[in-house]
Amino acid sequence: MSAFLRLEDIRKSYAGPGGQTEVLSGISLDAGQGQTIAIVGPSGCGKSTLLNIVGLLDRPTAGKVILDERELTALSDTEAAKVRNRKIGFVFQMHHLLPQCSVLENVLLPTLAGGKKLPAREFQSRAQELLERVGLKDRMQHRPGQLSAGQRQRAAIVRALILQPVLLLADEPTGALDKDNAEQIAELIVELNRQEKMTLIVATHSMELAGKMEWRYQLTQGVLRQSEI
Amino acid sequence: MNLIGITKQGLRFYWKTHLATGLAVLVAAAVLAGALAVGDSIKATLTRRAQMRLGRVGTAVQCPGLFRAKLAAELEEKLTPQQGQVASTNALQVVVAPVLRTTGFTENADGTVRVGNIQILGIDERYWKLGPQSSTRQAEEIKEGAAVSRALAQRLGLKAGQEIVVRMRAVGGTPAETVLTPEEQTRVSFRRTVARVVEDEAFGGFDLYSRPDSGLNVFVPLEELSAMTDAEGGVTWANMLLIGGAVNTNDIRQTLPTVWQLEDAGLELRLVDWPRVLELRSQGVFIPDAITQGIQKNVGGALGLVTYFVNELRCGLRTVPYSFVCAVDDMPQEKSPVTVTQEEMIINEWLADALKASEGDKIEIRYFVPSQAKKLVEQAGTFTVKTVIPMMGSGADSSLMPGYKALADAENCRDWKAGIPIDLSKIRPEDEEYWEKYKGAPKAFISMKAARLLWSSRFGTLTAIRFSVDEYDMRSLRAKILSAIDPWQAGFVVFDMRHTAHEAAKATTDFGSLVTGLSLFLIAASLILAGLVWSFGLRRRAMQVGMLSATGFTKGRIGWVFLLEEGPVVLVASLLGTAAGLVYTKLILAGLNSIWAGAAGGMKMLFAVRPQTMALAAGISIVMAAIVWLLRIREFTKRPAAQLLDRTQEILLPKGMVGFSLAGAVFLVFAAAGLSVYGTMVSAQAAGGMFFGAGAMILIAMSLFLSAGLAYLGVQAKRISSSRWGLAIKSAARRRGRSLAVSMTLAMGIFVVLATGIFQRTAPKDPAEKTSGTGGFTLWAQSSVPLVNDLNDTRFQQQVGIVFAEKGDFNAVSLRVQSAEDASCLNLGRAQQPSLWGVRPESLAGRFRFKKVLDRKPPANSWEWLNLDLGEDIVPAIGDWATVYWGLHKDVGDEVDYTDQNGRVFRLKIVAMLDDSILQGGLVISEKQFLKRFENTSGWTVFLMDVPVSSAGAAGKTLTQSLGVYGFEVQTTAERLTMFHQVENTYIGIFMVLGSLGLVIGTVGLGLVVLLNAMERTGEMAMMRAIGYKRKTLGLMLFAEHAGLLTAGLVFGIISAAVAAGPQLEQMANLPWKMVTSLTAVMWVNGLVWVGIAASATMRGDLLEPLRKE
Repeated sequence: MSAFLRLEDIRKSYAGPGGQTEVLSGISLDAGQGQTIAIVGPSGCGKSTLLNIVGLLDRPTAGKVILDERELTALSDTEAAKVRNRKIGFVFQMHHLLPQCSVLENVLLPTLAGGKKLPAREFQSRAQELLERVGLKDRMQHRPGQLSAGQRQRAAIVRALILQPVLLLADEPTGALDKDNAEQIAELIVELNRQEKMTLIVATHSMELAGKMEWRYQLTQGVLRQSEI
Repeated sequence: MNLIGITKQGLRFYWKTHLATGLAVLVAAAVLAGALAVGDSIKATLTRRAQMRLGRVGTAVQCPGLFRAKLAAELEEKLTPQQGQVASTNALQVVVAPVLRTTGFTENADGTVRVGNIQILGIDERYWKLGPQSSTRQAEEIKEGAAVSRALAQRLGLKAGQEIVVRMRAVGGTPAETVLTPEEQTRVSFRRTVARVVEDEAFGGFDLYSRPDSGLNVFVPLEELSAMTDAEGGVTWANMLLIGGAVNTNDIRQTLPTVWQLEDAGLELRLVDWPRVLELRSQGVFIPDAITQGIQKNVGGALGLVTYFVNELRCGLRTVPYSFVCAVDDMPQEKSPVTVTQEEMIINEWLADALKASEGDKIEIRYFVPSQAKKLVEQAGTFTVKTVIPMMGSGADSSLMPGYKALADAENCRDWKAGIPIDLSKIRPEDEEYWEKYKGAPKAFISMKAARLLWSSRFGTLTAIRFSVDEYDMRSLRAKILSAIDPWQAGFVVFDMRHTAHEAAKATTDFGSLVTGLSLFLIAASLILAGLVWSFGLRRRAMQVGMLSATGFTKGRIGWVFLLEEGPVVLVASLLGTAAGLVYTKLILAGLNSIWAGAAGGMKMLFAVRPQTMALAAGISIVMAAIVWLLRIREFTKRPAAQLLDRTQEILLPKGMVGFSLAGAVFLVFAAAGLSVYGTMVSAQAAGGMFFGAGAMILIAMSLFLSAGLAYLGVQAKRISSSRWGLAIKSAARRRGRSLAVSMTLAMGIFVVLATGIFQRTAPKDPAEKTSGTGGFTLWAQSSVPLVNDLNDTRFQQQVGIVFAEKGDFNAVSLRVQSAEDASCLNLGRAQQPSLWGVRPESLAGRFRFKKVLDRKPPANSWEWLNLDLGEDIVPAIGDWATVYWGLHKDVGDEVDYTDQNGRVFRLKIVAMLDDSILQGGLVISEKQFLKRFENTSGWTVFLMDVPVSSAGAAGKTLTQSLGVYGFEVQTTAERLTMFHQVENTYIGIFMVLGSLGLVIGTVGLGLVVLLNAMERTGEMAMMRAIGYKRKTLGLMLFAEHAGLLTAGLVFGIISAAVAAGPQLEQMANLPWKMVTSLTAVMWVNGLVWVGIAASATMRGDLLEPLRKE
């Protein structure tokens, strides 16, 4: 089976006081459609950097990202934005909800990104359905400031799923939550992923969360190795 | 859910930030709109001033001599359209108002207040019909007494019912400068009760020319003023026609020649009983050469003659005093005409007996030459007696005596009132007998050729032209002469006042743009503040930008999202600001009407705004704000989303930045030094620019030094962090661009404001320095009545009581003046025809400083430029730079069209410009050229005087008192120069005030930067609190960091301004230290206050909360 998502020799370096520092040293990875992958490693090992590259939020120094047989690393900014909007969902450690918008408005935000007007009614009902699924049915009109940390993160997850992406990236999705919330969110992500049938990559230092994924990789000193939990 | 929905949410949620940016944009828009509206107001003021000054006068006709006032009615009748031809019932019917105009001065009844350079206008009821608001009521109220204009009443502190004394230049009669015109006949005085004060709207402020002192008028009934002239009685005279209605200058040029009469040219045609001839004479005694030429060319049989008064006829030891000698080409009454050569003379029997002379004898005649200043220069001519004629016919023809009233009315010689000293002891009984019997019958005759050589003057050569009665009768000759000459030869000139009014309403400078330029700093500071607030707001929402990018929003779409939110704020703020700008306009106008009155030439400004101006201002404000906003948003959208989402990420500096900045700074320092050295070697004017450039270079060098320093401290230094102050310095280096922007914005503001302020002009230290703006003269004087005597003539000085301690203590250079428009910086309106000053170039040798001259080899004495031969109709002229460049919008080499007294157009070519001189307001030409173009102008009215500086005050008082009958007004040249400087200094002052306001806004921005910086470091602050730093210590560190930036900016600005001041620093005592110190102190303290407020605000609240949240 050909990989749905392929990372080929991804490298990333940064300039520093002592010269160039290589954060990612030739990472390669294949993921099938609907697979779940955890990338674990200590803080500062480059997990977020790798996810940013996969999610087209950053560009590698070298290497390619190929999604559904389309090379993404050479895309222009506009094309990359389009791919991020329609194909990729991103869940961050911080929710980044707009404080001035309601929960419903926040989750519908990606529908306004593209130039073409997307059918509002269709996504409105999807948003409501997803929010109901994550337990925020009664909070749709609330502002982020009126929600708990866990509720905000759920809303952020719904936002990531609203346009039915084929790839979901979660960067420390439970990093800012307490244990109970973290557990709930972890379950939620896995469940939703199973329902939506997306390829899921989670960057985390939480072994519990990593344990829920099918595949686990260890990122150490810029090198990615498959690991056994 | 749509973008509009998100926009509304954003507007509501971030209303405080939007309010702050809106206020900043509002201020910028208000200042811009207000500044442009000042231009509208000034234009409206000048337009109104022109309207008040000229009323509904469309055309003016002036004549140096007098004409019948009845000419007005005759012209009006011809110009008035016939029934059915009226173009519009709303148009003013044709009105031609006769005016008798002269100049002089007036005093209140007790002589305590004097106002010079006033107009005395003889008018009738037709004058009032031409006012801005016509009213015939005025005429009734000045049938007795006099009326004065509101401006004059204010200057005199006068009300209706009070008395005034008026002294004016006499009009009509013989020219004042001719030898035989008594000096007392050149001026007239009268006392009147003021019947009414006439408002400008009622045409009280009439003046043909735009001057700072326009409209100082005394009105008297035309007949009364006419009776005071020296012209023939029984006729009402005028010298100006004001014409309004549906006619233009072409209509008048075509119609006037069809109605005018000989009397309107000051000519009189009479029948001489014996010899029976028709004779043409002039009221001014001499017939103008232009008229003579026209008649001799076109009227057959014209016989010109000139009869001249001589002091003495001598043959050997025998003399005959005070006689007339005549020159004529033919002697019609003799049966055989006798002609004489240039060296020959015919004498009558009486003279032959008195001198015991006969044919072949030599007779010498002594006479005063027709020179200037009534200087009695006597010359002599010797002739050989050709023949002696009997005491009949031409030998005893008293009709040949010219019309000198001073002599003609005298019963005997001792009653003569000639303008020359008559030694009565020389007059013998036989002379009295001759006068009694033959009056002024010429005793001798010479050739016309000889007479032209001896007695021609600019006033004319002939005293009469005779015609044979066999050829003409009175009526046909009159018609023939009128067809041979035209009013223009007699000096009539037609002026298009509509065009003049339109041009006068234009300002010398585009004040809208000028005030906008002066307010530029204020506008820029407001926009920078708006930009800072936007940065503040965007930084708070940086992660939102990153998130939007992560969810697929393109940069453009993100910009659109924020634009939808910010756009309405900018739009509303710009519109509201534009409206609020009217307040700024009123404030500026209030300033111009009070503390900054110097910049407005004392003119009261009206408030007027055009909708187009407001629309333009709103449009520009929106565009400017939009540009600033776009620059801010671009700064965020161009960053990678990952960076925006990670607030801890820092931008690291390129390695070579420190070295590059240092190298650039050192280069600029050396370049500035070089420029300064070069500046000491060039002219003062060029040096100013050099030093300013050097100052700017130093400023940039300092910014590079600061940049390098911050870069080094931020990245390289290790030990700096070991103290609290070191931490503060490192913090300043953290956002190097922001720190640099803050510091250098203040530095630039201080530099520009101080460097400009230091260039306020001051009067020269030594007014006696010949190359200074005073030309070395210590006193400047003007007379309201022209002086026809030479002020340097000791005889005249004794006569009027001017006494100086030392003979060499006084020297005067007199200037003839053709009064027109004031083109100095005191007159905001644009001058079309500036006043002309005629001077002898050699009298100004070595005086004043020339700013620019023609591009050709200069003469030894720069004033000799005035004698350049540039062609028949081109006259070289020299003017002050301010007059030429700002007043007339010309440069060296350019030309100005001018109309002479005969209506002929000639061109003034600017051959040189003076630098910062007292000769602002007019153009200087040579006296020779002046008299060629304005031959009927008698006397001088402007005087430049050398007196010792220590006694200038006393000398001025002596002159004012002794020459009070001429309305002599004296001021020191330093005072005059200061008066002009005041205008320029006022503009500099306005710039400094507005620039300072901009700096105040800039320091408010500094407070915002403090808040911005603090906001970014909430986590760090929380950590430092957690490890034991006191709140106060953190606040002080924040304060110290930004106070340091502020102080550095001020110091850099002061140092750069000091370099720019360069040459001015030599005159340290004259520098406005108080202003400089106050301004700097205010800026520094104000900045510290804002920094303190912001730092204090940041330290309030729970600093530990960010830690808890994590």
